[in-house]
This record gives sequence, structure tokens and C-alpha cells, in this order.
Amino acid sequence: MSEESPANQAINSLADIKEYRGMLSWITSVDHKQIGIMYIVSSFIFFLVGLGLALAMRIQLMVPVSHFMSPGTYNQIFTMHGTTMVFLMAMPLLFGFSVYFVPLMIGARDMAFPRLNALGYWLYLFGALMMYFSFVAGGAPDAGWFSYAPLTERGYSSSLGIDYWALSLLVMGAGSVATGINLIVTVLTLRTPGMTLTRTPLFVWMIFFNAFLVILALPALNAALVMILADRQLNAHFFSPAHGGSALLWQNYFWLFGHPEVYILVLPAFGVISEVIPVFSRKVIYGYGFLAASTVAIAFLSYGVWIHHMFATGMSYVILYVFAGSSMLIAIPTGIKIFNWIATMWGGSIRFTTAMLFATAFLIQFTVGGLSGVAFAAIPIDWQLTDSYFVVAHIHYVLLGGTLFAMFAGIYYWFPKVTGRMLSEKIGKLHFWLMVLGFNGTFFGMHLLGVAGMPRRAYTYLDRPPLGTLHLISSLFAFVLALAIFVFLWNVVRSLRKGEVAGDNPWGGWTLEWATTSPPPMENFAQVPPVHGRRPLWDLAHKKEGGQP
Amino acid sequence: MIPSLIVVVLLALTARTMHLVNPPVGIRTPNVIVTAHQWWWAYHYPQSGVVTANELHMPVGSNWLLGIESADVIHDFWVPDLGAKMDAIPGHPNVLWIQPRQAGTYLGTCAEYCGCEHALMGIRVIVQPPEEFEAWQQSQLRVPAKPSGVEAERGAQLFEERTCMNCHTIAGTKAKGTVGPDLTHVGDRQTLGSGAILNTLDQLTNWIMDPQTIKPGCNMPSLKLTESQAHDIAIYLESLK
Repeated sequence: MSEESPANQAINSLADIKEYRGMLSWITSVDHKQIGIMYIVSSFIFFLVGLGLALAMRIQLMVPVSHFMSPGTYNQIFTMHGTTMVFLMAMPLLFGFSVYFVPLMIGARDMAFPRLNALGYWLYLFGALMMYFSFVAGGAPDAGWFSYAPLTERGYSSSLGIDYWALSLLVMGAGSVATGINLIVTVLTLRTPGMTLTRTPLFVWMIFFNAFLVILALPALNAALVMILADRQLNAHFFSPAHGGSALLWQNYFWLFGHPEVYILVLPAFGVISEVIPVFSRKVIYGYGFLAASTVAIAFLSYGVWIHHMFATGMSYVILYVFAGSSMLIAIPTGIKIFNWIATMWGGSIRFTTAMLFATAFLIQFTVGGLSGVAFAAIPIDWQLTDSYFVVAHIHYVLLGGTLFAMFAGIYYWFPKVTGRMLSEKIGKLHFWLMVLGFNGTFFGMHLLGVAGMPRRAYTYLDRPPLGTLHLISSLFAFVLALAIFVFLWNVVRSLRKGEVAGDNPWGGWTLEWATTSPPPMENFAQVPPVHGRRPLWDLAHKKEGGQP
Repeated sequence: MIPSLIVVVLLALTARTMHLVNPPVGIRTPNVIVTAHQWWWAYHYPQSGVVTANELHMPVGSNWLLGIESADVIHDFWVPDLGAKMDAIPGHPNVLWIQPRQAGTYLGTCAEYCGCEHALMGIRVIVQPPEEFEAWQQSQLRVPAKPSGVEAERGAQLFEERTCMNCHTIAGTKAKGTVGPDLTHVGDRQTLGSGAILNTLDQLTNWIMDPQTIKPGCNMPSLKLTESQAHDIAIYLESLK
């Protein structure tokens, strides 16, 4: 469409209408970019809250037999830390990236269902606020982020915390399923002409599979949440062994959701890495087909490994063998991905921008987390180390050293597109190195704590070497990690005001989002470039017509 | 191809080690039944009938089968130096093999988050030479002597008058409560409150005065006793050997 077309004039003149300016334009928005930004900003606010809770725990654990806080307070804090980081921070952050970039990368005007998209965000936000409202409504939830029954039954937990926990997760879960469906339909129906599925960027592939994981896994959690609410409010006894219920039933439901959930939190990170590494290595991604297909394998296997969270519950050995085998198998498609990324970097002309540094650190730290995961699949090792600090180290290497580092790679990569300004590379590198130091300093020692016999979720510990020393080291580095996050915030604030103007395509990216202006106009593209292959912008620059996919 | 082989080898090693450290059991009666409570451990030796709490005694060298059960929520029995851990799940009894090769004291803890005082739910395994263990077992079966001395007698009376005996058992007396740990031979134990504090007269007095300052949130209430009353009860309890 040309600049002078009546349609374009109509869009430009929208800025004159009150609803399209200021706060009101955000609250009433059904624009995927505004909703994406709202997701990302909200999740970052909850990230800061979760970080504050983590620091409070690290202060409590700095010395043995500390009286900094009461056990009741600590238990609420560790529960809210886990719940916040998984459901209020990581998932919405990934959804934010998904709804912002999927339409742009496939050359679409918006999501398939813009209003459903807005509904998903508002359900998330109000669900999250309801979760935090529990603090003033008689006590936050205090049974851990996976809330094992029967500790969550009213007889053992009389405050309203668990009710708030279950209700707000239900609200957010409904929003997540809606967003998942929306993403699937968007990818299937709104790809620009010429973009066949095999030409779709890998980030979009990962989000596409991830959306299937979301809509198939969350119903298991939602069902279990309804059951625990029925137990608490209507004396239903689903999970109460004293009345004929089963304590293990909850664990089966929760992890049937919970293990796919881990991959829900990791696949989008794989997507970001698959975009960042080729662009900064100046090479085509190695093994596009393998990267996409191994994702199918991971998604499929992720539904068949949940018992590995329950190896110490005394199940029959036949069940244990099957789930040990499936848990080890999942390392193969994940390993394929790691080698594909390394092969992409191999021989490339690598530019170590901040985004690339985060992507590289992701590769190393995620591999460490993956290897400790394989260790857990070997059941006798799991019998010794499960429920210890080794698990705490493992989950943080995967989700913080893995997912969060990848998301920072994505933020440094796409910030210019979203805001029109570059983040400072100098401050970015300071942020990166502080974060590597803080993260590894905080969590590496936790492997050793687990081996030394430190159980997780304990509000204190008796003075028995080497626990005190290891906890103290971990606590000190946790403040370095927090400092790194504040350096990042400073970078964002500074760059928003006086960052270098980015231009359309500062990194020489190849995917469609770089073809439009930064930030993209409301309609996304004045004209979508023709797509003849996987790298439309490269094709365009090299005047290639009808190239191979 | 090669990764699949690695998986097969790992799986075979896993199965082999599982059978070595925790072979499946038929209908064998466990040597000790461990029952986890919020936030302490009860031990029952079915062969001899001994009942004790928080400190598990066992003979060195024997391969013992522990029955792992729970009276309330899910807990987990974990003594890192003695082997695997096992969940204590209400309505779902489990078993665990352990075989200590050296005499000594081994420390463990509850590994599954079980509520407020999860952190202070310590396990102390005292591994003894067989003859020493046998002597300990015999001593546990004896009914403790009647309290002697004015303070201990007053303590025994207070134990019955106040609500203590609603929750605790002391063999040979009217106290038959089962909510809290069995106190028949509490004077013999090294620690109190599931390993929270050492078992001394002063510490026990403090505990009786106000358990909530030592183990906040635990199920033993503050009984509003005077210091001399608490002291008398402590003298009485320490005499139970």
C-alpha cells in the first residue's frame, strides 16, 4: 500500500483519538506489540520482587541458626519466590517475546485473535495481583511452588494462602491456554505469502511447539487445582489419605503438568538462541531441520518423564526403569541442539556483542544444568541427591543460567527493534560479567551443599562444616547477581533516553522483523518483503529471486 | 547411534545399582518401623517391642530393612552417609535398606518439605557394636524406676496434672499419649526436639518452659509453667533412663 492511500491516513489519524494516546492506549490495546511490552515489563517487575525474596532467603541462610526471620515467614518467602519466578516472571516473559515477535517474524499484521491476546495478558496480571494479595489476606501460600498434598489440606494449612495460590494459578492458567491457542492459529494461518513452514524462523518453530506444550500441559494443573480447592472448601478428600484419598495423586497430576512446564520455560530460550547465534556468527544456522525436529522429540518426550520427580516415593521398579530410560533419552535431542549451535558458531565470523556473550554463556551453563539433570535420571544418584541443594543448583542452572541468560540475549538483540534505540554495549558487558560471576558464585556451591547433605527448603541449618562456609559464599555472590540486574536496569533507563538511534536493522539480521522500522509502526509493515527462503532480508540484499528454502 | 548406546549402558548400570543398594523385598517384616510426624521421628522395633524417638540405634554391619511411614504429611527419611533416601507418605508404606559398616553417630534429616519446622527435623543414627546394641535394647525394655527425691516426685506429679500426659507416653505411668514422642527413656537421649538442642538439664528446662522459642511453630504448646515447675519436670524426665 502506498503512503497516500486512504487506509494509511486513517491509521495515522488514530493518534489524534484520545484512546490511542497515553495510559488509555495501553489499557485498551489489542495490539500485539503493546501487549508484548506489557507482558515483558510486568514480568520484569515480578522478577525484581522474586529477586528481593531470594535475597531475603540468602540473608537468612548466611549463617547457621539465624534468627533473621521466623520459619513461617521463610516458608512463605521461598514458596512465593518459586511461584513468582515460574508463573509470574518466566512464563509471561516468554509470552511477551512470543506475542511481540511471532507476528513480526512471519510478516503478519497482528495475532490471529487480538482480543484473546489482550484477555490472556489481563488474566495473567490480575491472577498475579491476586497471588500477592494473599499477603494482606491472612498469609501467603507456604507449601512450596509444587505444594505437595496433604500438606495443602486444610487440616495442615489453615490460612487462606493455598486457596489464593490455587485460584490465581487457575486464572493465569486459563489465560495461558488462550494465548497458546492464539499462537498456534497465528503461526498456521497468518504467515506471509512465500513463507512455507520450512522457511519459518526457528524462534517461531519453537514458540509453535511450545504453544502445544502449553495447551496440553496446563489442563493437568488446572484439574488438580480444582481438586485441591474442592478438598479445601468442600471436604472432597481427593488428596487426603486419612479419608480414602491419595497423597501421590497430586504429585502425578502436578508433574504431568510440571515437567512439560520445564520445557515450556526452555523452548522459547532455544528459539532466541537459534536466532542470535547465526546472526552474530554471520553464518546460516547449522541443521535447521534437526533443530526443528529435535524440538518435536523434546516436546513429545516431555510428557513421558514426570515420574523422575518422584523416584524416591517408593514406586515399583518397572515404572522406575521406564522413566529413567525416557529421562535419559531426552538428553539426546537436547544434545543435538547444543551441537547444532556450536557447529553454527564453528568457523563463523563471530561478533561478541552483549547478546552473543549471553548466548554463549547460555550454551555452557545450560549444558552444566543438563548434565546434572542426566545425573538425576540415574536413579541411585537421585535417591541420594533429590530434595537436596543439588536440585536447587540444577533448576537454577537450567532456568536462570539457561532460560534467563537466553532471554537477556534476546533483550539485547531485540531492544533496538522494540524501542528504536540501542542498549549500551559497554554497560551491557559490565552487566554480563557481573551476572556470570554472581550466578555461578551463588549456585555452583549449591551442588556441593547438596552432596554435603543440605536439604532444600530448610529455613535454617545447624553449624556443621562445610555448610556454613558454602552458604555464606552463596549469599555474598547473590548480591553480585542482584547488582548485575540493577546495572541492566540502569542500562535500559539510560538507553531509552539517550541511547544511539538503532535504525531498521542494526545487527544485519535476516528475519522479517528487521525489515520494518524500529519501533515498528502500528500496522507492522508498510510492505512485507517477498519471501523466497529462510533469510528473506539476505535474499533481498543480494537480489536473489526464487532462492532455495 | 552412539548416544543411544550410552543411554542403554547408563540404564543398565542404573538398574544394577538399584538392585545392589535397595533390592526388592517380599513380605519380610522390617527391623524398625520409622514413622514420620510433624516434626519428629518415631521408631518401633517390631521384634523386641522397643519404642523410641528421634535417635535410631542399630548394630554395626547388619543389613537392616527400615519401614518408612508417615502419620500426617509427606516427609523423607535421609541419612546421607548411610545410603538412599525414602519418602514417608501417609497411606503408602515404603521400605529402605541400610547397612552401616562402621560404628558411630550419623546425622540425617527430613528431606521433603513438610511444613513449618521442616528444617529442625533431624535424624541421629547411633550405630553400635552388636553387644552394645543388645544391651541398649534391653535397657529400653525396662520400665524406669519410680522417681526418687522431692523435685523428681513433684515433677512426676506435675507431668500427670498438667497436660503433658495427653501427648506423651512414659511406660509404667498413666501417661499414654501418642501425639508427641515417647519419653520413657528420654534421659538417655543425646538431643531434644529432633536434634534442635543438646539434652542437658538446663536445655530441657528451657524447652519445657517455652518450646516455641526454641522450635517456633512446633506442635508442643507453651504450658505457662513457672521456672521451678519446669525445673522439677526436667529433673524427673532426666531421671528416666
